[in-house]
Amino acid sequence: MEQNPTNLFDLQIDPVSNGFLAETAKWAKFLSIVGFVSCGLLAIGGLAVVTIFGSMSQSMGAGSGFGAGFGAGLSLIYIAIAVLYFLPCLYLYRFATAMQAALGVNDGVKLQESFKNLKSCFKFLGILTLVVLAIYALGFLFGGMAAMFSR
Amino acid sequence: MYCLPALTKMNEPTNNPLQQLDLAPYGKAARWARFLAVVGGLFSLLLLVAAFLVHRMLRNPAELAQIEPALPTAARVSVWLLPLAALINFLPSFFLFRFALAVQKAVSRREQPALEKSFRRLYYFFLYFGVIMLVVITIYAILLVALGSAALMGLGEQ
Repeated sequence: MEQNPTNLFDLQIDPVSNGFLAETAKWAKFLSIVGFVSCGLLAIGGLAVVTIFGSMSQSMGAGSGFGAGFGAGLSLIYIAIAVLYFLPCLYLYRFATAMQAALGVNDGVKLQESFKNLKSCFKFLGILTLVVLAIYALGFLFGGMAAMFSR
Repeated sequence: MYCLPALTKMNEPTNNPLQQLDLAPYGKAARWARFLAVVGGLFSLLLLVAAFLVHRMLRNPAELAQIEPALPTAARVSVWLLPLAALINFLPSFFLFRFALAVQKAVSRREQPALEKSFRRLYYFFLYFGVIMLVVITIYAILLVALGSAALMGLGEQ
């Protein structure tokens, strides 16, 4: 059967490009679902950590408040990572579902929506990278200053 | 397949199909993608530099062993693992950078082939991460099965 280029949203997308976009959406959906599961596991891990350290400090008796505090801190870090990881996964999932909907019914609005979510995903990861780089830079700065003053 | 001419006049009546689609979000996505790709590339470079430094440290393994007996072995493993990590990290950055270049060309010149190229490169990027994720999940599954069977065998012996 002859495959003519599909006129999607007044934009010529040939079957090859259409196939690439459909496959991209499939892989993006898979990655986002794996991401959601990882977020859930991280959150469960965070709750488990606070429970384990809490019961450990209880069994050790008085004066072991450090264990419970450390557990709570670690749990907070786990949950914060889960929240930070959840957002790009959500954008990726929205990108994938909107792309699949756009390709399914030739909907230009859905295509725009999927591109917006792709942008939000990359933007979030970009800002997160900038924040991490800034933290590293501050760490190097303070580390260097501490090394200089300790001489 | 056709190549659309570059169009810049906003109010000019046109039959250019791309003119009707707002590619701004796609262009913005590419801008962030380029930033991420550059940072990823620099990180790969840092990993290679680290591998080179570890290789230099291995010139005198006896000195390393004085600090910690297991250090020379760890350094020998790192000399191979660090470039591998650099390569694994570099490939998606490369795909992402090429994706960003194609999108920029598609958005600025409104070229149909560049847009199609960008779709292909975006697919390669997600395919790469998907395959890596499948490999990681498989390794985890094998480790879980191995640990589970080892624990069961240990219980059986007791």
